[in-house]
Order: sequence, then structure tokens, then C-alpha cells
Amino acid sequence: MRNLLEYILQQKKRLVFPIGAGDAIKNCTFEDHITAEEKKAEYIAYQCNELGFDLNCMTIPFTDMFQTFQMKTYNIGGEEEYCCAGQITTDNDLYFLKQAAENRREILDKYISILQLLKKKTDKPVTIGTFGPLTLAGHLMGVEEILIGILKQPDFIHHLLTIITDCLCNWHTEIHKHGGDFVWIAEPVGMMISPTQFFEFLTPYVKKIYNCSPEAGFLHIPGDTRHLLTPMCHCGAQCLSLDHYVGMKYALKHVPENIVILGDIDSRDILEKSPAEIREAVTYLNQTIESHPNVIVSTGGGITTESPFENITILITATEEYG
Amino acid sequence: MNNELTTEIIDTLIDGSAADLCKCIQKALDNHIEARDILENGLLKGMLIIEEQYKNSDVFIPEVLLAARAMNRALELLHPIFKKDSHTIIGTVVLGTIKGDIHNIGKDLVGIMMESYGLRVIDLGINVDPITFYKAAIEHQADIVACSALLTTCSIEMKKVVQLFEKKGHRKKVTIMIGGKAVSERFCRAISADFYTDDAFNAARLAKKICMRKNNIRKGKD
Repeated sequence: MRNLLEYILQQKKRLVFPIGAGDAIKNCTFEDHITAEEKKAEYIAYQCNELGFDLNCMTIPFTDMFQTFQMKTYNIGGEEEYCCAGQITTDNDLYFLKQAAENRREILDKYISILQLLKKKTDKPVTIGTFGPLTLAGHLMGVEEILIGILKQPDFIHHLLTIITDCLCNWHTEIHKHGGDFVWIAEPVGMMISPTQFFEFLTPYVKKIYNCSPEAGFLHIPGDTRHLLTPMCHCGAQCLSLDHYVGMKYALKHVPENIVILGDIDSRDILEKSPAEIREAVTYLNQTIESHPNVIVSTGGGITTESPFENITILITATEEYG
Repeated sequence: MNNELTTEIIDTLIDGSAADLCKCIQKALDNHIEARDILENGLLKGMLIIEEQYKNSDVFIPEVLLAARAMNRALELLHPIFKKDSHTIIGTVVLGTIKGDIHNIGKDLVGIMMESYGLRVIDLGINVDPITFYKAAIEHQADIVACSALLTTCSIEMKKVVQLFEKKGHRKKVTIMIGGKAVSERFCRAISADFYTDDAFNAARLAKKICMRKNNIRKGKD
């Protein structure tokens, strides 16, 4: 999928790509005795083949990236694993981080094997996504620390971002080699910085990653990113995943037609509202984007696991019904 | 308060240099300027300027964080003086990020802003379960319980906080505020919390208003 807009026009229909699938997993049955990797591939394929997702992506969780960087993590009782704060404070820490990032391949290999299984199960464009350098750096240092670091110790932050970017470049090169159809980068921490800071601390790094693969680059930044639309449009991404805070009408006015917009049903609504309300919102979205082929129907942010199955399927059925 | 010193405190706060701000505060104290005066005419005015700049997109979260950290250090310097005069405390807020969520930036900003408005803040930290909110509210005779969540997956824990206060028969005594990207006005109504605010500045302003109203009711009863 080297030119995303061309790909969209070839499909001759409005594409739908929700970010996540809520409690749809309850409707997905797995054969006994299959491995965790097979189960993951099966579930992503189910979203494409049965639910009708036109594209799909599995983002490597923070935990696995922390393991790759050999960072200590902690658990607060649920499934989530968090990085212990204060592990990256000196140049020496950066040196060890670089060594770890260069030498550890097993996590990436696990995801490559899922991608290979997935490619056998669906013809839809699929990939492995990662969080972006700024967000990963934020979770390694502490988000508050990196935001202050941008102002107080920019050279150190650049050094850290370079190490993470080099690692991600290797990963996305491998993902492309093994059939990844697009490059998905999620940069939620990006939402908190200024356009000038974005140009300095985000643009060069994500651009470098997009340049590692000939496939289309997607940039996902949830939250209100109206102030960042200009730098986002110049960071090398062919697709911007925008949240409902931006507003589709505003996005259409400020994003050039050669860049694809992914959005923007409020994912909190998917969790809380009734199917009738979701149908109304999706229909309104389709009306808003009717004369704009450069939009893929999606959710603004990630769909949470408790979101009702019916609300997710309405994203697809209501878009199909609209035509 | 000396205009020159006021301007110096405001400018240093906006620059976000905690060490320089503490020096300015000390200088003001050495010049026999009252702590309340330093807070209201210096620090709070500075934070209002930061708020205005943030709302106009002239500064962004990194600059707000830096200023808030400097403000926090300055408040630490003024705390011992305020403690001697308990009348300066207008109410107590029990604050925390809800169970399952470890995000603290929003919560910390809310806490700093609330303290700067003269509220006593009991910060329970991150990943706080409903019973801890409840116990802290009872122990500290809180006027407000303020819950924060960034993760939508955890926001449902806020409902459990509201339900626990109801179950314990303590719901009417405490105002429950919620905030954070994971929640909304609609969600606030759905879980029967009292107020939702969309940023730290509004949360602090509202909390101050609630506590002052509660104080007036108490005075009326006396």
C-alpha cells in the first residue's frame, strides 16, 4: 500500500478501520491448543474477515518494548505493565539502552511470526504498529520528565530519541520485509507539545522511520491536535489519525486533500452510548465526508475492551448503508 | 506589595525557574511582605497569566508543567507560614488517580492549582481504589473528593467511588468531582458524580467555589 490515496480510490467504497475491537473478542472462537501467536493472528483476521475492518494493525504494547530495552517494569494488579521511573537519567543509561535495543530481537521475532500467520489468513492490508519515539521515551523517562526535559535538557532528549528511532527503524524495516502493508506509529505524547517542539522533537524522528519503508505511513495522535495539524501534515505521514476533539469539519478544512484522515467517532461514545446514537453519529460523519475521498471512517482514539460489540459493528454497517 | 518584587515573582514563575522563584519569595519575605500577599498578588497572578497563555496556545503543557513545578516549590516555602494561620485553609480536597490508572500529570497540576487557591490537598497518588478515597475523606473530613482518569478502561472505577460513598451513607457530605481525558460531562451524570471539569485551572476554581459555598452554609448554621 505505497500510495494510500490511490489504494482508497481503487476500492470504490468508503473504507472503515476502527482502532481496536472492544468486546468483539467474545464472539471470536478459537480452536483448542493453538499458541498465543496463532490466537492473536486469528483475532486480527476475524476483525478483517468477519467484522469487515478494511485495514488492521496490531500495535506492540509498551511492555514488550520495555523488555526489548531491558527496562524494569512493575504491575499494579491488572494486565498492564508499567516502566519504573527514573531508569534513564544519565548518558551511561543511554549507552546501556542502545546496547539492549541493538541486541534484542526476540520480541520483534514474536510479532513478525504473528504477521506471517495473519498474512495467510486475510487479504486486507495489515501491519504491526509501534508507539513513536517521543511516546516511548516518555514512558521510559516518565512523561512529565520528558516534557520538562524538552525545555531543560534538549540535547539529552535528542540523544534518547535517536537511540529509540534507530531501533524502531530496524523494526519497521523488518516489518516491511515480512509483509507489513503500512507503517503505523502512535504518538500520544505528541499531543502535549507545541508546534515548534513538534518540528524539533517529533518530525525528524518519525520521518526517519517512515523513510525505512516504502509503504504508507500512518500517524496516530489522540486528543486535541488542532494546533499541530500543520507540523503533522509535514512529517511524512500519508495518513493522520485524528481524534473527535479536532472535529472532522475542521480537519477537512486544514488537512490537504493528498493526505488521508482517519477518524473520528468518539471512542468514549462507543463505550457509553446506545447503538442508535452511534448509528446517528456514523451517518453524520459519512454525510460530512461525502465529497472527500481522503477519509477513512474510524474512531478518534482506541476502542476500549469493554465497548459493546454492536457499537463497533455499526461503524461498518452504517457506513455501508450510507454507501 | 512592592510592584518590582511582584513583577519579578510573576516573571520568574512564568520562566519556570524554581530556584530563582524561591530566591524571589525569600527576598519578599525578608522585606516583610505577607505570605498571603505573595501568593495572591504574585504567584496566583503568574499562574493566571500562564492559564491565559495556555488557553491562547501561546504556551503548551511543558511550559505549564515547568511553571507548576516552580509554583509547587514556592508553595513549599510558604506552607509553614500558612500553617500557622489555619484560617487561610478554605477547604479540604482528597485527590487521586483512579484504580488501574497511573497517569499523574493532570492530577498533579490540579493539586498544585488547588493548593494555590488555599485548599488543603490530600494527594493519594495514582492507582487509588475506592475504599482508600473513602477512608481518606473520612479521616481528613474532606469537602471534596476529586478523581482523575486518563484511561477509559479505568473510568468505571469512579462509579465505584460514588457508590461506596452512597453505601456508607456519606454521599451528601462530600462533593465528588471527576476529570481527565477519559471522562466527560455525560459520564459524570451517568455515574451520579457531582461535577466534571475539563482542565486543571477550572477544577481548582470550581473546588474553591464549592468550599466557599460550604463554608458560608456552615457559617449560616452557626
